[in-house]
Amino acid sequence: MIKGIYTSFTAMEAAWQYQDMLANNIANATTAGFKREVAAQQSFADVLLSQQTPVPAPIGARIQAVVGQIGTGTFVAEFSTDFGDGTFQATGNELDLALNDGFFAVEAPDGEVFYTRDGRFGRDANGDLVTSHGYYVLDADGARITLPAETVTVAPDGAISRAGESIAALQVVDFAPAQLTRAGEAYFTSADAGMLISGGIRQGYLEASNTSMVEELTSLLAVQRTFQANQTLLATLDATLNQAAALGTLGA
Amino acid sequence: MTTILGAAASGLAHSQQLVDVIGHNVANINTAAFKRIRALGEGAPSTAQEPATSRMGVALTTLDLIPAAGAAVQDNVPLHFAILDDAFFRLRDVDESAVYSRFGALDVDSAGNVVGPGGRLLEPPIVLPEGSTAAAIDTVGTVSALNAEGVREDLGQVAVVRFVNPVGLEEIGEGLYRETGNSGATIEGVPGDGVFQTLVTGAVEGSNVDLADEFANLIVAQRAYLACAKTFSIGDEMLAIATDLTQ
Repeated sequence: MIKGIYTSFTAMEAAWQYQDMLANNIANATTAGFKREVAAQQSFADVLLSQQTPVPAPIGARIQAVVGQIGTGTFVAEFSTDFGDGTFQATGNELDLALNDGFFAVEAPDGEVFYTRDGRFGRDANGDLVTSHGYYVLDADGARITLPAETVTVAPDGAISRAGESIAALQVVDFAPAQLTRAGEAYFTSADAGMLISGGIRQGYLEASNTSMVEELTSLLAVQRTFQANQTLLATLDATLNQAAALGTLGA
Repeated sequence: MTTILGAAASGLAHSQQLVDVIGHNVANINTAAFKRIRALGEGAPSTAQEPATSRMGVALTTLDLIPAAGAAVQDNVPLHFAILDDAFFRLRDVDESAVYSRFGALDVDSAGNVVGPGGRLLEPPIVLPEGSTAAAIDTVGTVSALNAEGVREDLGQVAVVRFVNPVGLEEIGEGLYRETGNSGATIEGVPGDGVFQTLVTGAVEGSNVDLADEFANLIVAQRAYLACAKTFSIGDEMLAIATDLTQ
């Protein structure tokens, strides 16, 4: 019975972590370049139950007889990122860029490199191409890009030019999903170098969040009901234990 | 324990800000030379040790000024002009500092000075001599007027300026902007010199707000608000369940 309480508890704990992730996905439904998280639940390994000393047997035998197997509940095995594309929204801004595949490489002031699909870029005071937090967007050689004050054109393969004159080439890197680690809602880091690809950049577009509102909300409702069901089970087990504890009282 | 409430609350606050910005834009749909603001949720990078356990919902809402040019609106006043590219013209503020504007509704004050928004002088100033009438501006920015003898005389040319990062300018109201450390270096010139486009005269630049766009954003913001409110109430219910575990 105590085992039953722990099983219910694991289900509630898993449900809690799951809704944690769902709430974050829903809140970020309008964050540009956001990649939602998904969770995979898994049951704990089944435990083999055995009796201490089967009867009848010689006292010194201490034979353990297998009674059966029991599941011990569930847990969230892993949170992974869904790298599906968000829809492309036309904004018409010169430095809003959207990608089909791969990520832009951006460099923080301290030199750390992040990868992102959040293509809201602008110029800083020097004319360098920066993200909305001032991180420098890198070109194919890993260097910062300096733009002229006039409007530039970005070709689908990442070539930045003005009036036919080439200025720089944007770096677009692709990774296998397992190589990327989340670092914030729309940013990732990777220990690997990644593969340089080209093609598919659209100027004047932004990739929206890939949160699927329908999926998140229905999952949230399912989680809520799971939570409720397990709470009922736990309350029942608790009441039963209570009864068992009351068995020994005289005149009850 | 309260991450679901925190994330949902941040989503609510963010949607509220989206709606506020839309209200600001739509209210200014007829304001000359108005530049709309775009609000988007920000997914800032973070190198937290366990990013999967440090979800913050919408970390913040960034407001970007969209400096795209509005369409020129004809008003047939000879001294009015609209700038078609991304340039500004310079004015002298009351404290002698330089301010910039795109609101080309010039006028002549009682002293004969050609003034811009708020009665501010152009920089460098253009003055009409005594007795001049019918001041006008042409497509290269030259201001002229009929002098006392009835002959049209050129009095000066409006200079224009382009900034490396116009989004970095500080908006000080009345259609005026001030230079900051973020706006970057300037490129000076005159309209029609090859670097800058010619002006449209007898017109003023309109607002760059697109009503269809704003209403589409409003619907999205409303639905996001409802979804976050639903999330909040579900999280609240689950917390109530958890606290009522044992009767």
